Amino acid sequence: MKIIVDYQKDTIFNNDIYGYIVNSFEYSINCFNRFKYQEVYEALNKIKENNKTSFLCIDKLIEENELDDFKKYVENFIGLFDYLIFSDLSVLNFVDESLYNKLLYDPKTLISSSNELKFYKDLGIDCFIANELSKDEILKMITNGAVINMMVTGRVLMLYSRRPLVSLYKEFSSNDLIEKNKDDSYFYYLKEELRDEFYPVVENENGTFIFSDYIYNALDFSKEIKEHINFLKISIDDFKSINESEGFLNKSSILLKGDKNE
Amino acid sequence: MNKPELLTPAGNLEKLKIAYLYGADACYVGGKKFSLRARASNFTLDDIEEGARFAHNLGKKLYITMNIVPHEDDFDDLVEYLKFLEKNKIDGIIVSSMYIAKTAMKYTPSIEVHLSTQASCVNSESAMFYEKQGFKRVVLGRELSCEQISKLTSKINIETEVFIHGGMCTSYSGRCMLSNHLTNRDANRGGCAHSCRWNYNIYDKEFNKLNNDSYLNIGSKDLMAVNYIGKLIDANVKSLKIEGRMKSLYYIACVVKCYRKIIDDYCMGKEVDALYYSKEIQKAENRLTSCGFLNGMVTTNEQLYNVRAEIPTKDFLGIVMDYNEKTGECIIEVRNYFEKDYKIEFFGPDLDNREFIVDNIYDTNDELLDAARHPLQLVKLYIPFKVTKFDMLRKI
Repeated sequence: MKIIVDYQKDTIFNNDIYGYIVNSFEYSINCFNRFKYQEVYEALNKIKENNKTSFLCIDKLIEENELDDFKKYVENFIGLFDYLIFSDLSVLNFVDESLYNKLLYDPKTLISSSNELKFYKDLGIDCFIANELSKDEILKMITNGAVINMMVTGRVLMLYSRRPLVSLYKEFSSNDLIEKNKDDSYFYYLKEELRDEFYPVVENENGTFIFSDYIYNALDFSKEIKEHINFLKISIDDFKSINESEGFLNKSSILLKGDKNE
Repeated sequence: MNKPELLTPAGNLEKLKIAYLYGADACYVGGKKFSLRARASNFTLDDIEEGARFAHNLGKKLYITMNIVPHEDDFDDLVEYLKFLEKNKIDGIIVSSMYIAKTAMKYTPSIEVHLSTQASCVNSESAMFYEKQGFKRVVLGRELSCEQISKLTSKINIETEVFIHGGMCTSYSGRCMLSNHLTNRDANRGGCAHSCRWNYNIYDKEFNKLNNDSYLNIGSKDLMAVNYIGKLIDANVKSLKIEGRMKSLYYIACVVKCYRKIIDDYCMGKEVDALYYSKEIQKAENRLTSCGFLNGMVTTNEQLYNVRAEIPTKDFLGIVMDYNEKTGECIIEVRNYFEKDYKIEFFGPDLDNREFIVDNIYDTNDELLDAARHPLQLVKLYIPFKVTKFDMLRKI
């Protein structure tokens, strides 16, 4: 079980941390600790100087118009970093198969069974599992032989939209109280009219991202299954900490079946 | 010229048959297993069998949605189910799970495997990856413009399918856990609670509320691509898809008929009267519509603010079940209330809108009625022009 964590400009390297994730400004949907093209080199050098394993996070979905630049970006960095964390499967078409062992697939929501893991494993790709799985489900996955990567702590991304939802609302409502940050992003909290939770929302050039009101904490559970985990990810953000939760670990989401008669 | 397939949803057998009769080339339906839209009156095995028979007798296609993102316990009877579909000559399945896709390719190779929009395929390289994996078609993500779709299709061989009408996710499909986190209902397994259509307030970092006059809504208007069909045909898109397995029979008939005419007109080189078809669709549409991303990045015009997501419509009055050309006697199955002197309009697969003022209404025993007031009741009118079984009537 190797702990990996978001790289920050003021990172103090820690012996307990196996590797550091550099979030690409252009191609990561992480909203904080992002690094522009030249800064990626600087971050990579720091990580290497400290003899740590380097990860580049490029987990955005790539539209057709962005594809050429994205390919150049990946082709440039894949040889430099130890691992690339990706979400758009275009990567598997243009990256040479001999480099698949450097790829970690993190689609956030789509890897929820050992069968799905096995498909990618057979291609030579390891995956991060969805955050919305119960302990029972994860235990069944590893009983079926799967080795997993998972997030151990951080806010859970609930919604990833291409739409600039905050700025559109600002425009619609002419609300001058809603303002951009220095980095051109919006960073606020949403509260559903009938609920008490505050969900962090960030809008930047990559879209709009709404996060859980709690910080997911799967540390205790991850210790129970440590021999089945390869990478354990810690995600760092600037949101105010309100509460921690094991999220879906102790509950199952509902599979709605069409008809109780069948 | 590329003439794309018109692909439409069907929540039950009646809607399936109407969709085909009103011009669908293919329909997609969900079975009781492995399908999203769990409450969309999904088809039993018997329904699938009958639906496939009906489709194939008309020379049309039937696809089955198996687009859940499965968890560990969701695979029971997968091979058995696929073999049942193959036995019934199902033309294709729509999937997001690579495991389900690969299982189908292995055990039921005669069934085409189409990639669901849940996988958010939005570029040509990922489409090529899916082609290499054995997929026959990719349903593209709804975040692409016509320009991007055209660029994408020019680089690939695999068939593409594009949504042209119906509900839009505000999130990338398949990447939304909002419903799951807020209600414990997993959108990727048929339980979407449409939490994106709820009302939200916005707060700053000190938790001061910033909105007063209006909620911050994040939901999207429905898609209507009447103005973009020509561009999509020119982009060599192979299938144009209408969303809405939970929509009404009347909605299916109206929307399918309009897109059928638009596609046919465009492919025959006729000028398409987009304004007319927009108005026709609005007669059945109970939600606000926009062009989504087809014209590029969405604006406030594509978002839903401070409105009810759905506006009930009672315009649909009934379906023609029989017509006697000699006597003009027309048997109608009632769907909504109407009475003498109502101004109504008949329309059908081969019937352009014909207006009519309701005269006397009789029951099937020739007793005079003051109104047609009971849904599914059979009533009799005398109509001075030819109508056909499954034509519909609506209030105007």
